Amino acid sequence: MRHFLVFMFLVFAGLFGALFLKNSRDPNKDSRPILKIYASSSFIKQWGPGPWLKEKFESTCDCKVEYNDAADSVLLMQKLKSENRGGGADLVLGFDQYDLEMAQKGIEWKPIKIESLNFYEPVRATLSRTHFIPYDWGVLAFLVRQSEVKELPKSFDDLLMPEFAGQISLQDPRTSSPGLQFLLWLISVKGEEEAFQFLKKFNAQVKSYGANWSMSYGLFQKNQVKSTLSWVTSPVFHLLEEKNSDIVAVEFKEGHPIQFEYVGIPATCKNCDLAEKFVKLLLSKEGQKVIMEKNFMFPVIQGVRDGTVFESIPNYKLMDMNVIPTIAERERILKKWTQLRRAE
Amino acid sequence: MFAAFIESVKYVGHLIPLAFLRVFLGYYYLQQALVKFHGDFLNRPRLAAQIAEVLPTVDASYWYKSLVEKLLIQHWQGLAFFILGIEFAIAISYLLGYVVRPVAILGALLAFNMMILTGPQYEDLYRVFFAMHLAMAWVGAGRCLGFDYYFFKRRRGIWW
Amino acid sequence: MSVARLVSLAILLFLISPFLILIFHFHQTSLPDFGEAFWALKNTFYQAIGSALIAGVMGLGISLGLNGIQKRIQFVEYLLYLPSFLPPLFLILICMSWIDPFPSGIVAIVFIQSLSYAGLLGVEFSRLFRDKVGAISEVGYVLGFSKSQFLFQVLRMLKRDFLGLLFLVFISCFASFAIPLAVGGGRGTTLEVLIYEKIRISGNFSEALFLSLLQSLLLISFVMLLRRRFVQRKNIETRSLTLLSWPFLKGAVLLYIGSYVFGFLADIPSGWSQLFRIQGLSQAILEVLPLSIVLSLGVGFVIYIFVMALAFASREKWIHKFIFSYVTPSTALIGFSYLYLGMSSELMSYLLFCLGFVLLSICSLYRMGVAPVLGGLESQQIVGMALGAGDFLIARRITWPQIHQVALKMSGVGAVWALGDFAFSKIIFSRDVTLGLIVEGLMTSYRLGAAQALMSLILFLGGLIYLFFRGVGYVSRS
Repeated sequence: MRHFLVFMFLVFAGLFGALFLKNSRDPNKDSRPILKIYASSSFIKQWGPGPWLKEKFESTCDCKVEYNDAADSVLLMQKLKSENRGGGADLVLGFDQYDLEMAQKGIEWKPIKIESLNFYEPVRATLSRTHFIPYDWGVLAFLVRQSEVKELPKSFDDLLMPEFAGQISLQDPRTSSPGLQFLLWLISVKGEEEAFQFLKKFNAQVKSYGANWSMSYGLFQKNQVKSTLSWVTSPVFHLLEEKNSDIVAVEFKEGHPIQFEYVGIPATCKNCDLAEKFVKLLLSKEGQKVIMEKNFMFPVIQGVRDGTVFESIPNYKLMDMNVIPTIAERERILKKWTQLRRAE
Repeated sequence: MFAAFIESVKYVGHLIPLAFLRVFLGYYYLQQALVKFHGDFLNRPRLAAQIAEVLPTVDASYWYKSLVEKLLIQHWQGLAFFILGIEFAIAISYLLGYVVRPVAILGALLAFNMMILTGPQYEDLYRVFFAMHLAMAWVGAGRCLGFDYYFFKRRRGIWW
Repeated sequence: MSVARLVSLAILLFLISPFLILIFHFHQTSLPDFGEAFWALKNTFYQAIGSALIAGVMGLGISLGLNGIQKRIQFVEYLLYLPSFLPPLFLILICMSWIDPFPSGIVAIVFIQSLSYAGLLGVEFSRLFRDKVGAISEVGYVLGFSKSQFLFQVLRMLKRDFLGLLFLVFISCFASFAIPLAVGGGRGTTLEVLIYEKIRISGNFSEALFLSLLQSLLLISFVMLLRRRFVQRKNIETRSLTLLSWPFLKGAVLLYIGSYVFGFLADIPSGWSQLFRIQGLSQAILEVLPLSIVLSLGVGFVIYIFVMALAFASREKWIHKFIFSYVTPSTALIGFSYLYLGMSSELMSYLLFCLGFVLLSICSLYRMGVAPVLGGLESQQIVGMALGAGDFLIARRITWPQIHQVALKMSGVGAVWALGDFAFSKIIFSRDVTLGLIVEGLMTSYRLGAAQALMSLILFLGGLIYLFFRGVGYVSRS
């Protein structure tokens, strides 16, 4: 009996394997061109804007859209470099402004022609980079539950209040982009020396510097902390999905940093025309609405928010984002931050 | 093991004709399985459609019809994969003469169900297959010119 | 050169392949800031040693309580293993929900890590008692030993085995990343964090590679200095371990299980309803389910082959010492090195995933289950060699039959780890092809409850896969 069971198992396993091989090699599977897009996992998942954009694009382009999960920017760069040998991505989504320097090292990008659209003012300033076009943006802020705090903090100094002692979760700037942006935000507001003096006191308020956004936000979601760093659009998720209006993003009088998410077309693209058409879809009113509603980020085009829940989000005072520190400068600041933490 | 393969002719030589039938059946099943594998048997619900057409006319008990309709026709891809797997298993088993008895029982069950579900034009064919599989199982056709002889010599038992 | 030596060399090459690939790709390593590296190394050592010791003490308590449970319910043991399979985020959330205010620093790291490994150590210690001193326990009972006297003697006798298991926890904590960062405060920088920082901020693979090499070399030299001698396992059926069961510690077992089980399961129902509300997600889960299981089984199968190959080469002591002390490079480095190998097809990516995951897990599995058993077979192998048996005969007749079930058990554990993995999968795969990747996606997009719910499914399937491997071991036993 044992022989029979092993034999049947081997036959079915072999058949399974043969089917896999057949499906991955079948050249007649689809003769349409395949637009290969690298995007972040939140973009391409079922709940992200990716599936809608794919369906919409495939209905008009006579092509197939294939998404590849880019995970974080470093992994994305390595995958692009390794795949470039054999012809890789046609389009890349998800770089933020801090990734652009690394993105331009070792990989050539095509300039993208876009029509003159009604961009938001802060977005217009970034359009000088013709190789990378923003397709959404977010404003970073601290989130709190209104029912838990006596008074909403209005500045960094308010976060030093006793009620926030050990009640803030942040992301580690060495391992997470929002974490790095918090550090640069603080330096931009207070100046470097004062910022690090402030951090000496502020770190006592921080319960955890998580490795990534999901870890720090998870603590906030599970009521382990009263405040966390996220985007001003995050409360919209809780409002729509959980019918919870308690969570709000607090406005700081010093202003808030912006994170842009960019799209780029590598010079080694095979379907460059299709890639440009996809960029047009991303920047269309329909595409922007889906990105806004599924990504929970602001659209780059004006008029898309009208009549939606996102319209009710107040206009936060924004900081000037024209000066982006170089990699070397960031390393220097992070080293200083690490020294500060060593002394705790 | 290979010595036993040849030795089997000496000790169970009376089964040689059945061994030829076994190999022929094995080859036939291999051909059928390969045609299905390379074709669209797994991609299109042809068999399921055929069964669905014949099912109302079949004289079988209610639970059987209900099972076929709710389970087999709904998950036609799984059914197709399963049938293809069984056919490959029969093919390899019969060609090598290895675990022939249990596989023949499986083959007989498959032929019996196909006899019921594929309609009157294939009924006689599957009836013949059913009988051949039963004969293979009864006689233990793998013992002659097959690897079953090696295990039959050492382990005896009902399955060899 | 003997076949055993060739096999050992092949295993060594496989284990160090990520370093070789990256050195070949980058041609050089550059030196990091030694002050920073030394500080990170210090933090790493302190938290790893502290975690191993505290986990050991807690594990001992759990094992003494477990021995007191008359009918050894396998399910209880699986529940004790559970914390070591959960992603770090869930562990932190569970611990923080029980203690408020939660401490930070080395204390917090040690607390969470020792809690997560205490259950695993408890089960392993209990098995160790049962396998190695079960018979002696009955003799000791007849001779009138007290429980504490007997425990003291057993601890002395099984010192090496205990140290081996503690070392397993030490290595796992040494390579820990997310927990030290989240709760370690200023002491949260470990070598792994430094490696990740080098890769992430400046893309400096050369420095990251150097740090990883340094990490591995330090541990290898530390362990090479230790002499190991394991007491042979005797599979003697024991009716009771009276002297090694402390009934009042049964409560500790229940408390440990309860804290994790309730902490994890409490939010599962709402998580499932959140999961079903996401359009298309159930379909996506069903689509990736077969491949997740196949990959998991594939990893288990490769681990089995690897362990059997190791058992074949058990004459080559140096490879066993090497594996026992080796710290595999970080997940990111292994993933990137495999990326450089190139993935020309999906099948290639599946193969690389299986091989890469085996590389990540084999050393821990070896320390956990294989080393004690192999070590105990040494005397039998020597007898075989003295009687003129060759390597193949010794493997076929002595080593493989006795290592077979342990190899399958370790394969089961590795398969379960592979099923829930997303850190390595994220690097190798470009799409959601496994359940672990869907969990990661849910965690990064506000849907923590749904992630928790899906994690419970993964743990359930993992349990079935583990039982499958154990079942195969039982059915195929000789």
